[in-house]
Formats: sequence, C-alpha cells, structure tokens
Amino acid sequence: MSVTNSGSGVHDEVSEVSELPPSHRLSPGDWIKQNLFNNWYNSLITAVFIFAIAFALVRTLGWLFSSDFLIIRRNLALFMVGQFPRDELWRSWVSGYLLMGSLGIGSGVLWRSAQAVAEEKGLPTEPHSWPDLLRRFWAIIAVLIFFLSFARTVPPFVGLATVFVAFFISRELGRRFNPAMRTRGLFFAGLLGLLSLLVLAGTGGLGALTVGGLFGAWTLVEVRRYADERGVGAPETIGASRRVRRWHIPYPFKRRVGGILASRVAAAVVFCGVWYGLTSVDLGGFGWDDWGGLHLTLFVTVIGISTGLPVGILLALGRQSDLPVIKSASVIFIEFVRGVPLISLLLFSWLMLPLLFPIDLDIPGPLTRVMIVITAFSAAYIAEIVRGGLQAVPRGQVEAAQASGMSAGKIQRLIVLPQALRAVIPALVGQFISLFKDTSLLTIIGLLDFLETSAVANAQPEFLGQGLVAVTYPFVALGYWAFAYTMSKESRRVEERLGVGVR
Amino acid sequence: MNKNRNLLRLLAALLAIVVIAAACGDDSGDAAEPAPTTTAATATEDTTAPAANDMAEEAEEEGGRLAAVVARGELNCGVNATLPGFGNIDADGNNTGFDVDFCRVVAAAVLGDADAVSYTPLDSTQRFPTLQAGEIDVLIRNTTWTASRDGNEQANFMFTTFYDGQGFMVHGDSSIQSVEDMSNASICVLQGTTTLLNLNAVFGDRGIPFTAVEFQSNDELQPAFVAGQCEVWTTDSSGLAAFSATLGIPTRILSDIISKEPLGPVVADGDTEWAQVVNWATMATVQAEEYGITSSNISSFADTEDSNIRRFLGLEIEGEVTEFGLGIPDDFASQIISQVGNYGEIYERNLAPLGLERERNALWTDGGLMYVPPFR
Repeated sequence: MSVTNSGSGVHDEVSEVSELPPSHRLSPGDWIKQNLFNNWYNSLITAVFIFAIAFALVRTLGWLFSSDFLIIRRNLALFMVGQFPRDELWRSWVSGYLLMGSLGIGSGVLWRSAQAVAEEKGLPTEPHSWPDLLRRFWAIIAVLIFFLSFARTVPPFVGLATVFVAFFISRELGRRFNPAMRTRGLFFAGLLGLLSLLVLAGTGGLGALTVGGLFGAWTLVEVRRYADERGVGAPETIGASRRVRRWHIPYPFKRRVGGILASRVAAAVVFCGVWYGLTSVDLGGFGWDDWGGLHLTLFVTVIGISTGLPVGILLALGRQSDLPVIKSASVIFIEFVRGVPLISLLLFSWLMLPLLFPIDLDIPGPLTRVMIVITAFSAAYIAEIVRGGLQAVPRGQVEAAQASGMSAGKIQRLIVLPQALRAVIPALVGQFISLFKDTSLLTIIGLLDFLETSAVANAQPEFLGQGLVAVTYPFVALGYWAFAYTMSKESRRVEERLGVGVR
Repeated sequence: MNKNRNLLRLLAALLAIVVIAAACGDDSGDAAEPAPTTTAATATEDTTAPAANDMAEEAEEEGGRLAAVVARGELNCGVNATLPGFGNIDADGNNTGFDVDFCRVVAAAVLGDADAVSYTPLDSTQRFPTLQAGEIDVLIRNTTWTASRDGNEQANFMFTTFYDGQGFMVHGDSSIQSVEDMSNASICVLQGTTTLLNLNAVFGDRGIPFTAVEFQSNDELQPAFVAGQCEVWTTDSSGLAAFSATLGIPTRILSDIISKEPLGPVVADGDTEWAQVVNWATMATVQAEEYGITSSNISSFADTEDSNIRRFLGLEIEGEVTEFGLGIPDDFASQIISQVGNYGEIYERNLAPLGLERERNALWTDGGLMYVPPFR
C-alpha cells in the first residue's frame, strides 16, 4: 500500500509539470457505447447475444425452480456410494474421516517443508491462510454442499461437517510437524490413508493392499533415511560423498548388506504376522467390487493416476534406454496400449480374461482387472507425455551432470526428471482429467459408476419415463465438473509456483 | 565396488519381497494349483457330439459350475438394472424385480441363502458375451428364448418364467381397436429392436401401411407419445403396462399380441449339471404354487400326509428322504419357498403392481401355460 501511495504522490507532482495522456477511464455508459454499440453490426451482435444469454439464464433458472428434485433426494445415497450396504454406511464415513485426516496431515507436512526450503533459499514464502484454501477448493466444497442440500436426514450433515473438521484439524497438526520429520509425517499420512481403506474394505483383497502399501512405504522411508544419512541427494555433495563413502564406512561391507537382508527378512516376518492377524480377525467390510457411485468414480481415478504416473515415467525412461530389450519392451507396450481403444481393453479384461482360466480358479474380481487396465492405459499415455518432457531437457544438462560425476540414476532423478515433469504439467493434468471422465466407461462392464447411477434412478418405477434425465444428468455433470475444474485449477497453481513458462 | 553394493542391496530387497509373497501366499496357493484346465474347454466342445455328453457330464461332476458356486458361496447373476418390475435398483441400492427374485431362488436352492447373490447389471448387448465368459453363473434378464440364440450364442435356455409378447398401446380416446384399424397410423417404436423387426414383418405380411416413428430411448419416446406425435406405442406388453401407469394420461392396451417372447433364466452351454439345478430350482416355485405352499404357510406343511408334497419339500417318507440326485440339498424347495416364495408370490410382488394380469402366466390348472414336470 505504501508503495502505491508514494507513487500517486509522484504522479500528482509530475502532472503539474508535463502533460499526461488523457485518462482512459470511461463511465459505464460510455464504455458500453464504445465497446458494444459502436457501429451497426456490433450493436446487432450485442443485441443477439444479450437475448441469447438472457434466454439461457431464464430457461436455466426456470429449470432449477420448476424441476422436481425428488429423484435426487431419494437416490442421494445411490449417487454417492452406489449399492454399498446402507446399514454399513458408517464405514464410508469413518473411512472418509481417516482419508481426510491423511490428506490434511500430508498437505500440512508438505506445506511446512516447502516453507522451510523456501526460507532456506531466501525465496518468498507462501502465507498460510484458510480463506486461500477455501478459494482453491471452492468448486468441490460448493458442489458437495449442493449435493448435501438434497439430504433428508441429519447424519449426512454431521458426516460432511466432520469430514471437513477432520481435514482442517489434521492439516493444522501436519503444519506443526518439524520440517525435518517430513518423511515420517508423510508415512503417517499414508498409514492413515491405508487405514481408511481397511475400515471400508475389511479383510478383503484390500487387506493385502494395506500390508503391501505399508511395506512399500516403510521401504521408501528406509531408503530415504539411508540416502539422507549419507547426504546423497544434494547435488553439491555428490562428488564428495563418493569419497567419503569409500573411506568412512564404519563396518565391513558384507556385514552391512547382511544387516539389510536380515532387517528385510525380519520385516517380512513381522508383516506376515500382521497379515495373518488381519485375516484371522473378520473385520467385515466390503471390497471394491461392492462400491459404486461417485465414490467408485473417484477411487478408480485416484488409483489410475497414482499408479499410472510412476509406471508411465518408468516406461518413458525405458523407451529412451540404450538397452534393446528394455527399449523394445517399452515401445511395444506403449504402442500396443495406445493403439487400442480403452473400451476394447476393458472388454478384454471383462469378457476374455476369464475364458483363459478354469472356472474354479478364483481370478481377481472385475474391478481389480479394470484397475489394471486403467493403470496400463494411463501409463502408456503418460509415458508419451513424459517422453516429450524428457526431450525438452537440453543435452547440456545431462552432460554437465555426467561431468560432475553423477551416476545415471541420479542424473535422471535429480537433473532430468524434475525439469522434464515440470515442462509437461499441463499435458499431464489434461491426461488426468480425461482419465477421470473415461471412468464412465465402467458402465459397459456392469459397474455402477456415477454416470450410470443416473440411468438406474430413472428406471425406478416411481420415476420411470418422466423425462427426469433432465434433472439427473445436469446433477451428475455438476459433480464431474467440480472435480475436473479443481484439478485443472490446482495444476495452474503448481505451474505458477514452479515458474513454468517463466524460467 | 559401489555398483556391486547397490546391486546386492537391490537383491536383498527383492528377496525380502519374495519371502513375503511366498509366506503370505500360502493360503491362496492351494486354491490356485490343482485347477483342471481342460474341464471347461472339453465340455464346451463336446456339446455337439451327443455320445460324448455323458462323459462331459462325468467330468463336470467334480469341477463344474455348481461346485464353483458352492465353493465361492455366492451366485453371480446377470440382471437388468433399468427395467422396473423385472430388474432395477431401488434408492437403497437393493436389486429388486421378478428376474432378480429368480436369482434369489437359485441361490436359495444351491446355497441355502437367498441373499448370497452378487448381481451384475448388464445391457442387452453384453449379456451373452458375459455369460459365455463365465463371468456370471446365470443370466436372468428378460431374455427371449429363440432358436438362433440357443444355437449361435451358446446359450442354454431354462424354464420360461414369463410369457411376454409384443403389444400395442393407444390413447384412451383413440378409435383404434385392433391391428387392422392401424392403417396409415403413426407408431412409436425403439430403433434397432426386434420390436421394430416384428412390426415391419407383421404389418408387411398383412399389407397394412403405417409410419414408424423411431426413437433412441424410452425417455424420448414417452413425451412424444404423450404429446400425440404418434397414435400407437408398441413394445413388449409387460413394458407397456409398466409405462402406462406413469404417463398421466388415459391409455388403452390392445389385446393383439404379434409376437411370442418367452423369458427365462439362461445358462452357458456345456454344463448339464448346472443347467438342471437352475431349471429345477426355477420350476420348484411353480410346483409350490400348484400345491398351494406359500412362504407364510410352509411351516404348516411340516406334518402333511400328502406324499407328493413331502417328497417335494424334502421331508421324510417312511424315515427316508427322496433324493433327486441333482447335486443340491434335498430341502432346496423348502428353502426357496420360505426365503423367496412361490411363483404366484413372486409375480404378485413384482409384476402385479405394474398392472400385469396373470393371463398366459397363470397355472395350467387355471388355463395358463405354467406347467412343470413332477418332482419325483
């Protein structure tokens, strides 16, 4: 503010001395005259558009106030969770709290550590403000509250409110984590996320996922810690750390590897114990084959993105590899999957895969196979996007890294990929959004996703043949829009923060 | 040196994962190993050779679909999710309808629990591929029994649970009384359906000129009919009954039926044992109605003197229970009746609310077509 004031002060002084260009500020009436009605055809266009917009507005409002939303009020649970058993809905809510807790802690920890890094480097730090958070997610929040306005009972209100509270409390909690504990905080967030799955799905196939996820996360934490201990990861220490490592290993090399092996086996035993413990206690719960509605749509999207991205990056790197086997395998995979419509891959997994196995062999359920297909499909597309980014990184970067003695893996991890991925964020998010909308194809293999719910509700005897698709489809579209819009908005925010197109 | 160590570390991690997989995989390994890969394949191929059928049946005894369903503890049933009365999903997420109840009938017979069903909503194009793939055990989705489906689609049609036919609906004040009055009438019909084919065939044969007004879906057809864009609406008579209740205008359904549409459960070709189970479970509902046994009065039959009924319900006759040798519990009929009900109850529950009279679907004793072989 002070800058502006002094500026205007200067302005006043100067205006007395020299002649300034005339002010361009127009009165609203003049502005309209100059921009909308300055000649006959602009006037005509303006008139037509005003009429069209007014017509659309009146019709939309008319629809909004004249439509009978009973179909949505009755079927709200169907739209949200599909055929999930109604007397077990507490699982959905508890799982939602845990998930929001996980997201809250995760985002809080990440925010805190980003602040710490920015402070260290003397970059401007981002102020933490709740209104800002609301501005970022207003679309989802508004749509969820709109959805909630159809609820007839109290529990959904309490449930949704608690979901938000869980998020805000745990984000506050995450912000208080010491930045040095970033990895541990993220691990904790992941733990909560998996716990939320466990509450929802009990001891089904997701039990295995939970244990596997925990093991994977724990291994990552270990590797990270190991790397941090040695100062690997900070480019300036790379040349040095090699020397240091060679001479400062506190105990013999073999013992070290033996130790790691022993600790992994011990961990395996512990996790098997956990696994048997989990499977012997019946936690009830419902595997994802029983899920549906918006819940299923979002879940499939999240899984598709979070598994497709790493696989896609690996494929992109594989395609650039010098090893012929890896290169050709990547090329064949990418070109095959990209050359086939998603529908045919889904139908293959749905109708043909079971034919390849005997009937009494329990092959994974339909949704599990769908997940694999969607992962493969998005990975192939992501691989090509990432490849574009990889090619945009100047060769000099790699050569400089090689000259400073970095290993091939580190060059990719620390030099190439960060630049490559930063360059392709818009394309990646475009792919994510398109994947999100592609999940509506689940309909054709007999899964009740968010879109299909609309058709099902319209076929109920009391709503049959009354043209109520005019109510349910806009409702569903609004849901899709809120999430897709938030995704694209967040991606622009990330781009800005990383300075894409500026640096 | 450095590279070696990295490699060893990687190996250590991999080994650990393998150990986990091996140890954790123990329980699932048993189920996966002894899979007799050939059973399904041989059975399918052998259906064309009658002589080999018995052998195929022998093979099925051990690893067929019946055993698979029992082992799974759940019946996979392909249904319709968007046809009120036959199969749809209510606001609480439950599958309901006439066809859905027959899924429950089969589950009650095979597993003793009518709720042990996993429903797969299917549309009319996916239903046969899904059945062939074995993704569902039985397809009960208002599917018409035709020769080409039996032959080309490798489908095996069971007892017909509902005799439908293509009918006509007109506005209440219309002068049209029968097909003969429809000269130059405009007829609303869905695109690409057998309904349209039947219409063309029948009207062409009889030399009656008409204008077909075609629609993609009933959501578009319905307002058009109400607005009077067409004088006649033709589809399956059960569908007409369902729609006429929701239109809000006076309508009349003609007595003319121009096609035969027998609907019933379908299983995949090549598994006789499973087909018999589904068939007899379905027919038990009709037999129960014939005997007058309902879900509410079945307990009063526990000490009935009628030997036919005792045999049917799996009760002891002179200290012995009659074994039908179908591979399912002897009291399967009792389970069906007490958990789901007899044919009449199922009909009353699902189709009577749509205003569908029993007519052709009455018991043979009442002049209808519902006639089942004896349970002995």
